[in-house]
Amino acid sequence: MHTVAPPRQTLTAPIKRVRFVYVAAFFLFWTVVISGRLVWLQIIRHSHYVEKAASQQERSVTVAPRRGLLYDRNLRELAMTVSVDSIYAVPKELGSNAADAASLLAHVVHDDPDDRFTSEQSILARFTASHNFAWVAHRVTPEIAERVKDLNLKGVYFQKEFKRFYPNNDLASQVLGYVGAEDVGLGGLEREFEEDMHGTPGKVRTALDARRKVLGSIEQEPLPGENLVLSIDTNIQHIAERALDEQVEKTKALHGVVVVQDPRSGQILALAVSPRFNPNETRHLDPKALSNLAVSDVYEPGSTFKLVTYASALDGANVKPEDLVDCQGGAITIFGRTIHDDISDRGMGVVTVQRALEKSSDVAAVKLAMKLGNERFYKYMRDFGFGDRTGIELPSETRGLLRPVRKWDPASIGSLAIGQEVGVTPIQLVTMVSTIANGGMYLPPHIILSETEKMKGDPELKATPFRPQNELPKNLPDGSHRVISELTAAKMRSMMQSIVVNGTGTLAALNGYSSGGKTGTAQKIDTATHTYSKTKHVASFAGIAPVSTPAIAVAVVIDTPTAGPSYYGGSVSAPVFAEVAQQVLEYLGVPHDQPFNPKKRVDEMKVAKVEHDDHPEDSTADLNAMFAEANALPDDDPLKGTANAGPARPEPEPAASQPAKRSVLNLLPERVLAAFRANGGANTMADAADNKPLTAPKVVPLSQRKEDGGVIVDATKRVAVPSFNGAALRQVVQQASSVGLRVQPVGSGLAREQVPSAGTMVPVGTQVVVRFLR
Amino acid sequence: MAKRVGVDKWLFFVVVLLVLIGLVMVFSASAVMAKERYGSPYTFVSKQAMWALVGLGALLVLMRVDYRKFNNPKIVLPSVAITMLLLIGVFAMRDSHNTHRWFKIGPFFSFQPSEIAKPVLVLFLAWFLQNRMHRMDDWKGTILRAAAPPLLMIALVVKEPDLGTALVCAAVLALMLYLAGAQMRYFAIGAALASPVLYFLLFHVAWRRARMLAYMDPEKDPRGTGFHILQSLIAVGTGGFHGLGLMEGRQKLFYLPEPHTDFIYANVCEELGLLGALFVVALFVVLGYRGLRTAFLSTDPFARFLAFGITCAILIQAFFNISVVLALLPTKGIPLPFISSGGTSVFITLASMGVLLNISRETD
Repeated sequence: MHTVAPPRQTLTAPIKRVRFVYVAAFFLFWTVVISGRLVWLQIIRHSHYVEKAASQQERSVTVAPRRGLLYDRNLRELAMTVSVDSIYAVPKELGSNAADAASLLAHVVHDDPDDRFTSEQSILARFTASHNFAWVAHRVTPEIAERVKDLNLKGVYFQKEFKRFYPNNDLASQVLGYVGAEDVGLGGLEREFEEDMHGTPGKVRTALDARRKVLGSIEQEPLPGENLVLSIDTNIQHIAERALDEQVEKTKALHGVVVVQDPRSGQILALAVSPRFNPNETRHLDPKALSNLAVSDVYEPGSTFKLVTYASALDGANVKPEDLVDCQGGAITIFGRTIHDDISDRGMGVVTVQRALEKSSDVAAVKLAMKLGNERFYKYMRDFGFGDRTGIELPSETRGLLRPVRKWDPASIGSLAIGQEVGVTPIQLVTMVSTIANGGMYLPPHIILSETEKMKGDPELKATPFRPQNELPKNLPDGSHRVISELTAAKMRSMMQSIVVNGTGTLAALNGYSSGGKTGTAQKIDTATHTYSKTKHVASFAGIAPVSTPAIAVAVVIDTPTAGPSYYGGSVSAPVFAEVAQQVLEYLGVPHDQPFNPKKRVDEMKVAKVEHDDHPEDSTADLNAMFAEANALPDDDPLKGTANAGPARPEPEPAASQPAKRSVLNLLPERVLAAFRANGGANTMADAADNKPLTAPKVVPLSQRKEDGGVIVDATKRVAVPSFNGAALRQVVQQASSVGLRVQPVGSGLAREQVPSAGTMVPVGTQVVVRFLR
Repeated sequence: MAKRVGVDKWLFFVVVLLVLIGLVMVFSASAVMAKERYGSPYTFVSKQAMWALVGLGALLVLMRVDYRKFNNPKIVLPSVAITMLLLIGVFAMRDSHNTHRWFKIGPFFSFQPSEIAKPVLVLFLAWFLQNRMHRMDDWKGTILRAAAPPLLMIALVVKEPDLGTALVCAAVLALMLYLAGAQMRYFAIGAALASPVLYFLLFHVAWRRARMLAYMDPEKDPRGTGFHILQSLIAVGTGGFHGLGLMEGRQKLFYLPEPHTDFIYANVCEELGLLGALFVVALFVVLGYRGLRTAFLSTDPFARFLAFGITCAILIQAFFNISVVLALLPTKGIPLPFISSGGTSVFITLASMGVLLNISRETD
């Protein structure tokens, strides 16, 4: 079988079995080396190679988050982020056509000769600089993108990029701020809420094969930033800006601020600064226009600050409006410093406190402050919010200037009483006025209603249109505190009204609404000489409307008016207040509480003769005539016995109404009429009491627009406030409700004091503050 | 007369397991690429499966054919002659990738003569050395005559060029001469003579030189010459302990050169981790152990040399391939036996395993 079998002895003899062992050992050694190498690579160097693998297999791309939107309170977009096309090219795909492509593209995208980025040369330069990627143009308009798409160039691509867009251009620009490169907020709310609004960038990790082909991606969605709902109402903001711009331009002022606030929530409805900037055009920004003067600008308030002095004295020193005060002919010397009243008040002797405020008497203010004393006056000022930040959600807010008592010199109280040695911001000013308007409660101002992830259209995000409330909310916001009593506040409101009616604020009168407020004219402090400037002034006005239940508080500050009839608050800022308040109240559908004269536009009421802080008093006669006319009762006044007509269909009966009115008036008890006269004729009844012949005003249908569900009640339905003196609470309430008034009781016992005082003609529904004492 | 017993079951299972792992890994490594190149992800794996089946058939046949039938000059010498002719004839074929490794017969059938060279070389040496162990100090009569035909074959393989296979053949030649009892001085002389040749081959052929430099410092030029070896290391390294999971490897996606052939082990490491990588090594170790054991226990010198040569050829090739993947050795294009995609390789390897299994019948 084994034909080729070798001889036996040669089979095994020379075999060296040990060589098997060596060969086996050699392979074993190799195995150990391989195993060791595997452990080294796969376990010890594992993370190193995982990193290396990721760096070549994955491309991580950051996806910019969408910046949060800014809405006004009615959810109108104030700032939004839109996605626009940016154009880039992959030069190697352009091939040899790069030059032609650059020329074609530049022809389309190079719309701004100043923009060097999109010039043909720079596009071509970028094409030659990189093989894989070159920008053509950033954030182009849809039209340009469309035209580039029409070019149909190979190797040209589009990428969506976000662009901040302010649909109202310069509206509220200092409030909103603007966004710079890299989507970073650089001013206003954009800066203050940068962190919340920016959002969290997303990541796309793309797995690639060796030929850069995308195999799939893991995405981490970018989280859009939070949206802010502002308390601003775009319409009110617009009204305020337009009125302010007009006046700033007319008076050639440096700048101006108007703040409109809801006195019962502290919410800012409008914050207008003039001049403004357009945040859409960040390339041409004027750095001077960027700061929000309403919170960053400190100025010496002057006479507007007397509201604080008077309110404090009424509240804390038991001063009454009807108390008498000696104005000493217009000069007072305290601790060696003589404070002079303006020329207009020279010769003013003993007058009521109310009259002193109407005339803005410095002497009276100083005396009232001294009645309080340093400590108490200081506490009131602090309580009103001066000398401290209000905490409004805006950047760069200053505290203003209010030195603690220990740093006062002996005469300081006199200066402070008339608004000197104190620096305030417009936002502090308006908040102070709101405190008086809402019945004495300091409510910290806010401009943000909510921060939310929800977008407009989400049923959970609802518009919160501003509707003036009659009362303070049950749950007061954090930081609110009582400053003055309800009664003091009511007295102050009534005095503020008389400033407009009889005093320095006549240009703040409205058509169809009562208004109150205080003017102020302060000399600017010359920073170079640290003295009061003789030529530069800040004209301000702080007011409320309507007076009985104020819907809005407004502060107007105009810095350094240089042109126009005068630089006084009464003539520069008060008209702005009137313009703003008139339009805003009409816009809000606030019922008229005064006869509305549809023919009279507010500005027509501004007769040439205006009483200023320093103007002679003899202009009052004309004013009285004017107000007699302005305040004449309309025909459908209930006092005339005619049926009340709804707002939609008033019935003009000019001829028949006049006797009717008179007869009704005559029916009033003599006591009430006397009270009207005694009360100085807060407004309407002056002419009736004087028994002057009435010029029947023409009544045409009320032409207010009905907006946002605002109910327009016929404002002319008015009643006389009964005298509650000596009555118990139950009686007071019954009596009041029988004529359609509401009662705000203070204290307990029997009625001793009331505001408005008995006999005042007020619209139905007005709140009467009654103080009860045992 | 040896008693006839069953084949070595360990060997048989290890071979079947390796072939199965090979099929799975070939599919995993080539599916994406095959889909892209040929439109079907099964292009490579089906071809491989077909060759594996044919190879297993050959294994089963040869397992039953008495190995002594090959101990015949009428078989050995024509085999050597035909292999030589094929190795020469391959140069007449159109080159692919500047190499002449493939013999194409018709559009579907092609094979690599260098793969045939390995078993023929083993067969020749086993036949030649079986009677000459007592004359191993006769360098003219034994050493030179034993080495001359293999060296000629090796020279032709180098010329293809297929330096990797040539080195495997050289190593097999050396190991068989060593087992036959050749004195160490012949190896020293052989090494001394081979070194300058090897140096010339490695460093004076531009692309090999680049590969050598890349091997020495793969991260120096990661996008250029170091690319392949670095990609291989990344694949191995990312595998970690468990691996990314079967089919989950990323490096095969055009990062790894030849992910289904020469660098398939990198894919194994990446997808099956240290566990899978060591398991494959362990299978080869078992194969080596059972193969060497067969040779050791064999009483027939021809069978001993044959079993030894077959085992060593497979082991050297496997470890060489793995070492290249792990950057222990410079890149040489040789397949991983049983596992790498490649029809000739898997067929010849399985066929030679059939012979080894037949020999193992007598050793148990």
